[in-house]
This record gives sequence, structure tokens and C-alpha cells, in this order.
Amino acid sequence: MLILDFEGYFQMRMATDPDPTDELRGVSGYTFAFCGEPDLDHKLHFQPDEEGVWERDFGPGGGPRVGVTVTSATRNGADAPELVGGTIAFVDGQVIEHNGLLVRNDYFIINPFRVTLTSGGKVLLDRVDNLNPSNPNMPENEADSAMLKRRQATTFTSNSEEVAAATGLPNAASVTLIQNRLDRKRSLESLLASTPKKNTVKRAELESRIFELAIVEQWWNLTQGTPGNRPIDRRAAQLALQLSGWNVDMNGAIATNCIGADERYPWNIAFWMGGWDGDAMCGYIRGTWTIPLES
Amino acid sequence: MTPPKITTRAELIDALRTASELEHQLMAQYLFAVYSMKRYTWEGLEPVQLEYVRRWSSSITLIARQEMEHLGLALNLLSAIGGTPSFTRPNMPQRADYYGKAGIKLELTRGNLDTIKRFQRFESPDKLTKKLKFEEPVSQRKAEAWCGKKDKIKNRALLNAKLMMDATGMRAASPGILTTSAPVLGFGWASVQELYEAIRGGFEYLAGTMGERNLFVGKPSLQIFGGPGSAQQQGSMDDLNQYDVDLIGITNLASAQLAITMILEQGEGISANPEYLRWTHFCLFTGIRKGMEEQRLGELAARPVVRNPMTSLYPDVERSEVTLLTNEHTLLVSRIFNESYELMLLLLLYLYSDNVKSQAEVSSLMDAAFFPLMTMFIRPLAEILTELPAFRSAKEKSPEGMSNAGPGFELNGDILLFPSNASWDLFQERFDTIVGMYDVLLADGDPWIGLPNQKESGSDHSRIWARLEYMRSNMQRLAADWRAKWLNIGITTQ
Repeated sequence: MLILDFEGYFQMRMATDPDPTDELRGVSGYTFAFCGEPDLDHKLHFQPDEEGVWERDFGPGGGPRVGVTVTSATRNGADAPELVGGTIAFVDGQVIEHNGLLVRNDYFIINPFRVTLTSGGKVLLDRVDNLNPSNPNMPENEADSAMLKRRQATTFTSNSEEVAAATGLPNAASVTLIQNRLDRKRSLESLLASTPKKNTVKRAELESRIFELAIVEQWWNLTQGTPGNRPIDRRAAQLALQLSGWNVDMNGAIATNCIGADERYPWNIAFWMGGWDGDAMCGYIRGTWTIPLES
Repeated sequence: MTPPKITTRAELIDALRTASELEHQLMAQYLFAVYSMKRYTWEGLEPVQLEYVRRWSSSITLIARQEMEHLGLALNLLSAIGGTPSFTRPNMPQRADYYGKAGIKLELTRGNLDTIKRFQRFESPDKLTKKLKFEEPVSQRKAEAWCGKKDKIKNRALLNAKLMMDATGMRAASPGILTTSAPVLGFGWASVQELYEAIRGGFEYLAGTMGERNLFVGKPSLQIFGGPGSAQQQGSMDDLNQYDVDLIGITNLASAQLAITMILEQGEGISANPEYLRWTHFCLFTGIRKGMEEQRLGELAARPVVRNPMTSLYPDVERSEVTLLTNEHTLLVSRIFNESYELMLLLLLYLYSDNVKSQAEVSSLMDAAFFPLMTMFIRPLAEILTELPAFRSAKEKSPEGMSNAGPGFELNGDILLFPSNASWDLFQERFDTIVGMYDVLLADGDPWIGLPNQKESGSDHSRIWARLEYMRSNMQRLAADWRAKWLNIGITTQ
């Protein structure tokens, strides 16, 4: 059995509720393609050099950098150091719910679902999972409940300490998360101050991001948002929100198998996603890919 | 002249119905304007200009969502005292004095500077409109001064105490307001603010004279709200921090006062904490107007969308004020929009009704009405319409020189409940009808492939066709889920 543990930041430049899920620039949600940036592509990107990745500047406070890699690997119980540092990709994957049309309450599926392992510039493993194995080309909107459940996450955890530890937050308390967003705002204000006036595109992008981060506090000043009753804005809450329970026995075609994986059996992949930073449009993933080997 | 005062339940019900109709009308106008605003660099704007327009669009959609919230609060207030919620409203345009001296001209116009000035006046505090002529814009100088004012009182408790004293003083200075009755027929208020203050006065007067128990006779279960005590605890309608919407249940005078305070805080900024002022509807519109004037984008921000586009002439509008759509495919898209909009209103009406429905059905109605229909159909259809030609001939333009269509928010009469025993099946027919309309529309090839900037590399279809095909697939799913009573939605709770 080959067991690959992987983790790191991914990017997903996607529109957020209540924007429609095919929105290209972002209007009414809290994620946007700001000026000078390409359209939102709604795809999961695990590596910074993938087409569609657009990493933003964060100023002196820093921010997440895309890269999901293998952190430990064992082959039949023995260390496999040659695979550590290899890169994982969910090729063209989208985190989907169609604003409650396909699945409710943000129990997302990932579709299409194709996973690769690359090491030393060479693809070693490449397999897809099909919602409907008997009809691999079936549109996702035709999936029944059993097909969806196979692909869905199962558990939300707010203020997850596991997420906070993974992303470097001191803790997962709401006050910490709010402070993180205010710190990011200050960092961007500093970056804006040092951005030349003639760089109007960059300045407009930064101004918009600062405006969005300021929303973290705006509702507190309404009558129903009095001190002591300050519900945390989603821009902050999602920094430590964890969506876990994805556990898929990958059933589809194998395009590449360079490590002697047993193709007769499913390859299981289990992971959580969380730590979503809407300003960076990045989140954190941690999981394990378990692959049977030929005996 | 003293504004009408409210001293009977019937008057309060009339005023709340007027308020809910008004919120509905404002929302439709704001949405029409924002969906007409440019989105892409190929529409003639530089990236930085487009970023300004994007920010303004985000602000207007926030305001429109809060108008939906205000509509929901007005309906909850109405339901709480035994009124019957309604989504009926006249088609637009209507004459400028439709809401009396409030001067709220009901019409659908693209998001240009004139439209923003009109919206700014809709949301203006009374103080800034008192000396203005009918439809005259608010002074931008005074508006900016209002939005930039700083209150010396930083302590919220002290601020509230001061506001309560102000309100008491205002009532004392107008002793006639609550002592004699006047009919509420017609619209006797000078502004939205005055209407809501009269409603608040009516609640306070009636709670005092008849007692809260006798005033609040409606079933709380007929209201739509989130949070504790609600059937929708998992929803996000009680949480401003998610979608900027906070629907609360109305069960007594305190909750009624809170709802009205929320409406006035968010809209005009009345009694708002100075720190919040810049987020109020009035100040957001003031900021947009300033930006449009400074950036000289007053005309360039919006697509060339005709005024008051309609698929047909309705008896409640003037022919001379309507632009009748004549492009065959645009007409069909427009009819799908109107069908979807009407279906959403029917679902909402059923939700608010006393018709027997299980909790599962309530959840299904909510899931169909609040998220997918609004965000996945009505919005993208409206956006598409503002990109489509209004007229049969590509060279034809409206008298104002406009050529693009827009969402008419057309209603063919009242929005009425289906009979209780057949509701589910009648809703199914509506869903299936809309699926069929998409089928007809998309069976005719891709008539939009020749429009400018529609062809995407690597695709044989226009962007518009691709969006409509996505919507068809999603509407098929919605119709199928309705038929299957939502059996195929996978995991929904942990």
C-alpha cells in the first residue's frame, strides 16, 4: 500500500453567494476579480504555476502562497522519501453546489474529480473518479443522492483549532480571526501607501480589497449589532472554518500509473478543506491518498 | 401639513401594505439599474474605470438585498398584527405622484447619473428634501456633509438615550399627531422616512391603547425569519454578516420598533451610529453620485439600455412611457425572466400564507425561492437582457438613443395564492413551463453568436448561449427535484 499525506494552500478563484456560480468578476459576494486581474475561473489550483492562478500581494503582513505537496510517504510501511515534496493536483476540479441547487447548505462536491501526483517533473499517478461509473459523461445535474453523497463533505467545524494550527493562526477564537482580517487590512493600507500614484490599476485593486476587509466591522454599528452581540463576518469566520469528511474511493479511468499501483481496486482519497482566506481566494487542504500496490 | 397618523389597526395594515409595496418597487428599480451596469473591458471602459463601476454595482446590490430585507420585515410586521402579506404591485412606470408628495417616480432606468440621483433622493433623510421641488435632486454638498458628520457621543447607550429624547421631544412638539385620526388612503407622507415613523407611531399608539396582546394577533409561524424561535435556524436570514440580511420575527412592540429602526438605520441613516453612516443607502448613493461625477462616468457606466422595457402593454402603464421589445429572441428571454420572477413571488406568498405545509415543504420552498431562483436565474437573466438587442432591427434605437433590452419585472395582474390542495402540482407546472421555454429558446441555434464580443476562444457558442444553457440545466434540476420531493440532494446536515 502506498500512503501519501499531502497538505498546503490551494487557490480557487470562485464567485461567492449571492453571486451566481458562473459569475466571472464578482459583484454581490465577497470574492472578486479586481481590475487588472483575469476572470474568475472557479477551478481548484494546487500549484502556483498552473494556468489560472493569480497570487495577490499582501504587503508587509504576508499571506498564503499556493502549493500542495506530499509531506510524508510510505510504501508498504517503509518510508518513501523520494515521493516527499511531490505535488498533488485536482485537475480542473470545481467546488460545486450551484447555490443550493445541486446540494444544500454548502455540503459541496468536487467535480470533475481527477487527482494527480507529480514528482521530478513527471506525472506518476493520474486517476479520475466518476459520479456515475456506468455513465462517466453524465452531467452533474443528473446525479442522484447516492452519487452525490459519495462525493460530499460531511462535517463543518467552526473555529477549528486544527485549521488554525495548519495555517499559522495563534488560535481559532473569533477575536483572533477578526484581528487577522484587520491586520491584513492594515498591511494592504501600508502597501497602498507605498504604491506609486501612477500605478492606478494596482492602487484601484488595493483600494477595493481594503474596502472589502473593512466590512468585517460594519454591522457592529447597527442597533442589533451592539457590543457583546457581534456575530462574526464570514470574511473572518471562514479563516478557521473546516469542512471535512471528503472520502472517495476513486473508481474511474487511470491515465498514468508509474509506481505499480493496483488498478483493479479503488484508490481512496480522504481530506479536509478549510482556512478560507477570501482576500487571497486561497484555502488549506490536508489529506491522505491511499493507493493499493500490485503484490 | 401634518402627515397622516395611524390610530387604528386597519390604518396600520394599509400603511404596512404600502410600505411593503414600496420596498418591492425600490428593489426592482435598483436591480434594474445595477444589472445594466457594464462588467467587461470590451464595453469601452478602462480597467480602473471598470473597477469603479464594479464597486458601485456591489454597493447597489447590497442596497437591493437590504430592500428585500425591508420588504420581509414589512411583511412580518403586517403578519404580526393580522394583515395578509401581498406581493402585488403596479407595473412600471407610474406617474411621479403615485406615492403622493414623496415624489417616488416608479420607472426602470439604466444605472446612469440621473438614475443614481433619483435613488439618492428616495433614500434621503427628510431634512435634506423638505425644500426641494418635485423630483429635484438632493444637494450633493449637503448630502456629503450629512454623510460625513461626526457625532460627539461615542457611547452607544448615551447615543440611544439621546435619540429617545429627541423622539419624545418631537412627539411633544406635535401634540396633534397621535390624538386625532386621519385616513391612510392614498399616500400622505412626504418621504419613506415619514411613512415608517408614522408606522412606528401607530404601533406605539395601538400597543398603548389596546395592549400588545390584542395588537399582535398574528401567528409567529407565518412570518419568515431566522435564528432562535424560527423554523429556519440553519438559514442565514438572521445574520447580517453572511448576506447583509437580517430578518427578525415580530411578536411585540419592542421587536416591531427594532425592525423599523433597522429599516431607517440602513436606509436613510436615521438614528444610525455615526460610524455606520457611510454604509447607509443614502450615503452609498451619495458616494456613487460623487464618484460618477468625478470620474465622468455618469453616462458611460451603464449599457445603452432602454427605459421601461416591456414584452407587452399592460393596462396599468402609459404607452408613451414604455419601450416595447420587438426582437424575437429577446422577447423570449424576457418572458422567461418574467415567469421566473412571478414564480419566485408565488413561492414567497405560499411561504407567508396560512396554507398547511410541512416543515420539509417549507424548507423546499425556501431552498427554491431564496437562493436558486433569485441568484441562479433572475439575476443572470436580467444581466443577459441588458446585453441583448431590444429591437428587431439592429439599427433601431429608442428616442433616447438606446438599443439594449432589460428586465421589465412585469406582472400580469395580482399575485394570488394557489388553492392549498393543488399548490405543489401547480408549482410543478410552473417549473416545467420554464424548462420548456428554455428548450424552445435554445432549440433555435445560437442567435447571439454574431453579437460583438460574444464568441469565446475554444467554444462554438456565444457567452450568452452558454449562460442560458447552464440555466436550462439548472432549471431542469430544480424541476426534477420538485417532482422527486427533494430526494436527490445528498447530505444536508451533519
